[in-house]
Amino acid sequence: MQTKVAPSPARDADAEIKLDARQVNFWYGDFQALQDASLAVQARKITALIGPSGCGKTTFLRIFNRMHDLTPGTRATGEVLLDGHNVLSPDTDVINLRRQVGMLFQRANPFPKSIYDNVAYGPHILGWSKPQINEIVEESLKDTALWEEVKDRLHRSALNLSGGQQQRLCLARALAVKPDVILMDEPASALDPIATLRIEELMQELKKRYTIVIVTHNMQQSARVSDFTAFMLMNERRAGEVIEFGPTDDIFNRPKDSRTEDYITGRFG
Amino acid sequence: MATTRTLFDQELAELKSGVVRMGSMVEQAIAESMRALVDRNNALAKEVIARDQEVNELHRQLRERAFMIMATQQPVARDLRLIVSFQHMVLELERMGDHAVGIARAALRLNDLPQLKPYIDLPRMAEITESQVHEILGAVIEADQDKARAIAERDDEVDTLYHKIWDELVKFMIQDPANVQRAAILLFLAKDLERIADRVTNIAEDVVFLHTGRIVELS
Amino acid sequence: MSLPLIRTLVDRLVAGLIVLCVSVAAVPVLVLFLFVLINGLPGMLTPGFFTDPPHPQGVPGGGVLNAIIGTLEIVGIGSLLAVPVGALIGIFLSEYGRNQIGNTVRFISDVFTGLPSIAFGIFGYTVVVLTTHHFSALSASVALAVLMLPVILRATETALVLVPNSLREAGLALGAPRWRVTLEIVVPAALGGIVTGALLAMARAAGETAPLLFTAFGNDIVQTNPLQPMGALSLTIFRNALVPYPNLQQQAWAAALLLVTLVAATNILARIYVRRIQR
Repeated sequence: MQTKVAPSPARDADAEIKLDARQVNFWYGDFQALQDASLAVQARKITALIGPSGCGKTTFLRIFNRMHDLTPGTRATGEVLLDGHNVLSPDTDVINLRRQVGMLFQRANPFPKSIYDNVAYGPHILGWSKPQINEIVEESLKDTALWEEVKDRLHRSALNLSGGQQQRLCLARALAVKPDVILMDEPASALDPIATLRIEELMQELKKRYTIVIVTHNMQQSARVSDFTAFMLMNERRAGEVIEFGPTDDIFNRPKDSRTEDYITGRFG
Repeated sequence: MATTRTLFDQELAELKSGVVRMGSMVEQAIAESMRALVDRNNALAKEVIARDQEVNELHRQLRERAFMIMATQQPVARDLRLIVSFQHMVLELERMGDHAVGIARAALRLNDLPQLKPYIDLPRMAEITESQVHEILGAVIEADQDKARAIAERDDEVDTLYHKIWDELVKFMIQDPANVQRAAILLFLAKDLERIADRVTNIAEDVVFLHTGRIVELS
Repeated sequence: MSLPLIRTLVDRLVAGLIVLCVSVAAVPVLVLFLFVLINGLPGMLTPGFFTDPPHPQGVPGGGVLNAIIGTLEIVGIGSLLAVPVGALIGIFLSEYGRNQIGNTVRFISDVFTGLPSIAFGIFGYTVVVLTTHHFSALSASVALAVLMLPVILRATETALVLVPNSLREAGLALGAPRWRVTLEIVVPAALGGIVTGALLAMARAAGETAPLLFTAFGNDIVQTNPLQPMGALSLTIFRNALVPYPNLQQQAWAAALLLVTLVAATNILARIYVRRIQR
């Protein structure tokens, strides 16, 4: 049975909600890309957004750290509460928001600088001292399992690393500013299976300290890695909606909505 | 509905028809083994025992096929529940086949001895059991969990009969030591029937799991 | 004849035609270079060419030291004016100029690129020479700076536009303000293209003659004061080509060779540099 109302996210009374999106609508100019999208992201858990191409999951993700501001002509209504404060309100300090909510992109995008300078850039912007920066660079590279591989060539160009290493470097770079939330936009889609599994392993480690939201079109990855999954779909007006949201075990074993089940079993005929 | 996984759907359909076919074979084995007892027909009993090879072979094939589908198709949700429950059903059916063989073997031994008493309750118990088996196969084909639950509830009838037969046979054994051998064989035969009925309940639980994803204890 | 055979023949024919066209295009350039080389080498090899100022007309010997220093200084000062300004405008256009203002600036810049170089000379004359009542190297530098500006501006903008947006996003997503992302991430990434643009603009300016005619005016004395008239290689060539003294004519050829070599070398170096950083 299909439901027209946006489903209320599974809320467990003791759960700490880190990021709470409520009735978010989003337009690119006149085109509505998101309709009444809601999502309650629990702290220190991994929440996955899945759905077919064009369903708005990346659009939704990028609202959380106001990256949509970079595209002219975009408009968002609704609320996205981070620790109770609405990040969509005009008086939000966007610079600080982006420090608090980090992002990992689909293709690794290290700066054409040295490995050290890449990771140090964030702290450098924050005005930390050299010894502090040295410490955080080492810590971040250790947290992403890169330290052993690069500790002897920190001052060589980051562009000489392999694709998987570059992506881990970008993760270290994001961690260096000590965010609370990490947004990941299909972080492993350009990587080979082994590099992908290493990123997934890292995510399991990182979720002990960080809240992670990941957009992925790889359903097995979503099933492997996430604690909660939200399934999104384009409606007749081509606006994205959240169809179902719940613990990953439930979504992949007994989804409530037949559209969810059709998608995850690959029966999208 | 034309889907994006026609090959996969075909494999699932073939798996299901394999399960149903195995079920029919087992149903037939149970009926024939009981008839071998009641009609004192040794040839029939031997046939049942021989044909169990086919049942075992089918069991092996279906288990392997289910495993291959899981390895290669990464099923999730209802597909995974389907395959997992079929695997389990197939195991239960194979054991049921073994119980039918047990009944046939018992028939072979009893048929060489004078009949202890007219067989009344045992055929009654067998009739209910056979009907249970038939019904549960129907529930599997139709994927009907309500029917499965109803069938599981009838298991009580079988249990009641089983206890009645038990008490009667024990009385026979106390009456006269010469009865013990035949009564003992009949006890184990009744046990085989009881186990078959139990396994029908297990299959009913599998049908419920297929639908709900939850493992429940029925009856 | 079979089809494959016809195809091969047509292939060869067209390839041959292309080679012919390339030769037709390249030959004049090569001939020119050879001409300048043959005529200029003797002058270059003459002792004193690089070390002496020109001798008075009619007196044998002399060199083009004044012109060498002049070209370097005039172009140098011009670059000091044009490169920072042009780079900054280019940065503005690329990062903040996707709007009407930006389009207007671009349009004006493109128009300027097509102006005859003597117009820049008039500009330098009017703005500096008339106000200071002096010919000077500075006025030439100003003229050349305005000439170089559109080239540097466009090259900078192009280099910055080529920097993938993912780098900007990466910087912004870390919580860096826009201006820091531009200065600390985008510009360093585009530096190769910016430097190349500047080098090519400088090489072009070095070869200009018309803007210098009534700004720098020329000076046979070796001097480095930018507020005084100054010589330049292009002026030497221009003036000496018209006088009947063979030693001066020879110096003109040699100066031409020197200039051509300098410009060619700068171009080649710029391209090698680009290829190196692309690796």
